[in-house]
Amino acid sequence: MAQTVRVKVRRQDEPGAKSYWQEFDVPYTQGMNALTCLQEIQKNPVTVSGQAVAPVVWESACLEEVCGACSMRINGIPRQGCSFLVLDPQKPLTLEPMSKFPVVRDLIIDRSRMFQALLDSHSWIDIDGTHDLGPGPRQSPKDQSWMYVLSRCMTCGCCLDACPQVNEKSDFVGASVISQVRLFNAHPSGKMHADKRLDYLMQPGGIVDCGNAQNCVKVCPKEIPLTQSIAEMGKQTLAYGFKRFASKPDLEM
Amino acid sequence: MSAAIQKNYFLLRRLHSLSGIIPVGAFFLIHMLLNSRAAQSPDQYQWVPDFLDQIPYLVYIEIGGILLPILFHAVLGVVIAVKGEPNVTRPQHGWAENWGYTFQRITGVLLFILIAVHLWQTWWVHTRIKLDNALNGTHTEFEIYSLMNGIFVNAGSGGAVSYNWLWLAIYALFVLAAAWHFGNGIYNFACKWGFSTSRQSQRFALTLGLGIGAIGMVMGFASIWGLTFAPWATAVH
Repeated sequence: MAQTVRVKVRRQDEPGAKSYWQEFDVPYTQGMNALTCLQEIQKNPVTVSGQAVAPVVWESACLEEVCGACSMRINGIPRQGCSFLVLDPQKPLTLEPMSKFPVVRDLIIDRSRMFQALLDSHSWIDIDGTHDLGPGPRQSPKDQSWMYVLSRCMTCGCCLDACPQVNEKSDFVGASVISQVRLFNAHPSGKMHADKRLDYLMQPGGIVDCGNAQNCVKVCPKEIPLTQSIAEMGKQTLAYGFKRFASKPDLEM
Repeated sequence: MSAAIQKNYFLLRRLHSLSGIIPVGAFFLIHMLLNSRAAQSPDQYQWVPDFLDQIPYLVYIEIGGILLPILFHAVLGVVIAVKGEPNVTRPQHGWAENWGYTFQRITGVLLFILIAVHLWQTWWVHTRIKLDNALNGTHTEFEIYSLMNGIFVNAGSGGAVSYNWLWLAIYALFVLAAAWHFGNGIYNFACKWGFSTSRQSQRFALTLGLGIGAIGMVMGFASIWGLTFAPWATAVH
């Protein structure tokens, strides 16, 4: 008899509905990952008790850990389904939707708040104009290399899921956008809007709501030094705060 | 949240962080240092309130310089603590720093209560004596050693003594909680203000903070020893 993997899934039929657990046994194939387990369930959506159910739904796109769509809690840890390999078929696999976002259905969650935070924080470089702005300033390869690490953020939401400060009682925006502000404020063209981004971070729910639990950096699938980014932005917002208070009359426009 | 708090939220949270180091943390260290004179002799210990009473405008300095900052730190701290959702009990989330986050909140709330009790037991007694002296022209001495010794040691009949283990445990917990909260707080402060950005420097800040906390803890335990278990602690009965 072929080996099977026990997959426990926390399911939810619609937004706001009560969640419930279902267990499935899926055939094991070497090198399978969490998403191939879900594909197997889709092929044969029958629980271990023999009940035919609606197949489990999830979201995924790139299947190579660069898009962030298949974030889910696997065995309790927020991570990407595509890059979680099932190495030992004896060990049951527990799949849950991430806990800090509204559930759309089953494992699909709505990460809109993160994209809204990128918009609110002006986390982009303004290059568009009514005329050709010409080439931007050059960057040193050294700067490029550390900024590249920050640019790998795929807004997957793992850092928010693990953070004790991100919850319904608090407005905390989470680590990812703080790190993105660091990236765009370090960019030679992005610097021109640095104040705008720092203003964003200094609002309630911004940088000061970090509790330094350092969970974000441990779960980040892209190994972005999030706690370093938070400390760095803590320094930049403080310096900017002094400037804004004491010595920058042109900010009063 | 009112508009004024909203507007000054960044400042308020930074002041909360700063007040934990200066004056509250600094006060903790000096307080433990001076208290440890109890481990030398009751006379050495009595020097502390006698010396402090020499400071002009002492009561205003006490209220403005330490009582109000502690109250500010505590009230905002409780607001912060209830807004967090510690998750160390989640599977695989038991990282050391996450425990630190959780303990920081537990000890913070605990210290709020213990400091209130401690002020009632000591500072208020001292201040009331000074008030009485000022109002009634009396010259009652404030004897710090017998006050603290009386909390920890019960005098029995015929010179026999027994220890008040409940208060000893409460004060031991008090010292531990304060030392931890301050030590880990130094680390949080270094990270939040951007003094420690890199991983190595954050690790250094944690080691330094816990080291300073440990010094406070040793001095605190020395004080309790001097007040309870030292040869002169039972001799006064």
